[in-house]
Amino acid sequence: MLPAAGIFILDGLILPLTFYLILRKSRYMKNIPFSTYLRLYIIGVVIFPILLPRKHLEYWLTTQSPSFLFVLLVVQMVNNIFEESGKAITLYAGAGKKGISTYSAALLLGLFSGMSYGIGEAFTLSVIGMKPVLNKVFGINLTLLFITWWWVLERFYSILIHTVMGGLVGVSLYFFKKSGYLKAFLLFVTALLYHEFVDGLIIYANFHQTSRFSSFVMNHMYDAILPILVLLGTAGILILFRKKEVRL
Amino acid sequence: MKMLIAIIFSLPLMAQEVCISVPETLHYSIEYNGQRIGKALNIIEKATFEGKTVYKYLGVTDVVKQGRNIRDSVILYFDKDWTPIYQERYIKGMNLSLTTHYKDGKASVKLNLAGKEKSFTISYPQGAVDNEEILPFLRCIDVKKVGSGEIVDITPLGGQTVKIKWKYEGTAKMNDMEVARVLLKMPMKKVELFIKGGKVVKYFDKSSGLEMILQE
Repeated sequence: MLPAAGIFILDGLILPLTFYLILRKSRYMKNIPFSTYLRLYIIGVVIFPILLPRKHLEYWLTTQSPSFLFVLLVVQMVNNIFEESGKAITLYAGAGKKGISTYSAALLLGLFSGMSYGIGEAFTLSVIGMKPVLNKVFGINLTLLFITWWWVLERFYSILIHTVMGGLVGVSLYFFKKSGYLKAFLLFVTALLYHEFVDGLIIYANFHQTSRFSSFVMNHMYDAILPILVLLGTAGILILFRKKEVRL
Repeated sequence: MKMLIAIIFSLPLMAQEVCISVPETLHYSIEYNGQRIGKALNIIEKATFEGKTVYKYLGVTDVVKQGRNIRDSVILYFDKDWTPIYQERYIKGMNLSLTTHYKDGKASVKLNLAGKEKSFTISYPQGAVDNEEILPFLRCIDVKKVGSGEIVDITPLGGQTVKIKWKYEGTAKMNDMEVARVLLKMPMKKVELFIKGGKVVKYFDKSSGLEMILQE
């Protein structure tokens, strides 16, 4: 029961509140009211379960060709497109044109949208894990998911990873609005590829269960793999910050 | 007359019975992309469960996966028409145990992972078999004659039922023996089965490279 509370309080409340307090101090965000953050949070949390039944499509795809490369490059990419689009919808629906009118606002609100989406994922997966009857509704199997403190920690990392993707998607939307379609496309693809890299490690480990690298991935998920992925993503976001000298 | 027609048309739909002469003990070697990673022991015998004579399947699989030693032990009781009755499973290395009671199209599952419990129910149609029964069940089908079919597989550990499509793909040569080839299609897996003399001599998951090879 306590770890379940951890998901909702630590990952779902304290983390976004801390991030909000950091963002509102930024000089670029002075004109962004609290209601915008609240809208982004609510939409981000709600859009995840709305988009999740796509798992039925992914499940069907895996029955068509269950090879490693097909699952990695096609099934996973379908998932990534849905998820990055979910973040774009969150940002646009929650902050409107104003939210993507400047580079810095698009980047910072994009990060907040990604984080909200990640929280939506944490909430939804936890609820499905607690009520396996929901597996059928969403087309996802979380029977073996038990809500433990490890899960709280894993979701914390995952939320940070989604935050990074949200930042990339935010800047992509900014360039799209400014008709910089190539830059917009490249940034969106970067978000997709980052997602692909993160989830691809798990797919690789599942398909290559005897390789040393798979053992490393599965046995050092919390102390090496996830922290490294978060650091890589953070480095990417810092590059975006420096591009236009955005400061928090 | 009506009765006769009804019987004739219902024959293919009738659940087939266990054809395996028991007790039967099979040993398998487990390989992953050509590298031996473990072994499996499968025993089918007659047993008494709640006062009724039924079949008992015992499966013990030892593998090294992702750097961990895993022992998966399963006991499944099933009726002569393959209807699953009760299952117990323990996976050492994951500290996971499971019990499943099957009754009236509902499998009541109790999962325990390192002291944390979870209970749920899986609904399944008539004729569905437990995941552990798939291979013995297929062995009792005249695959060459029937050609293809679909099995509803109840996977208590996965919390769901899965449709498995099977298709007879002709014969192949294995160690100078002619064996029947059957292709299984299911989510995340495409499996080739080689059947000889009513036994699965090789199970090959083409998607992942996992193989089970019968040891004589």
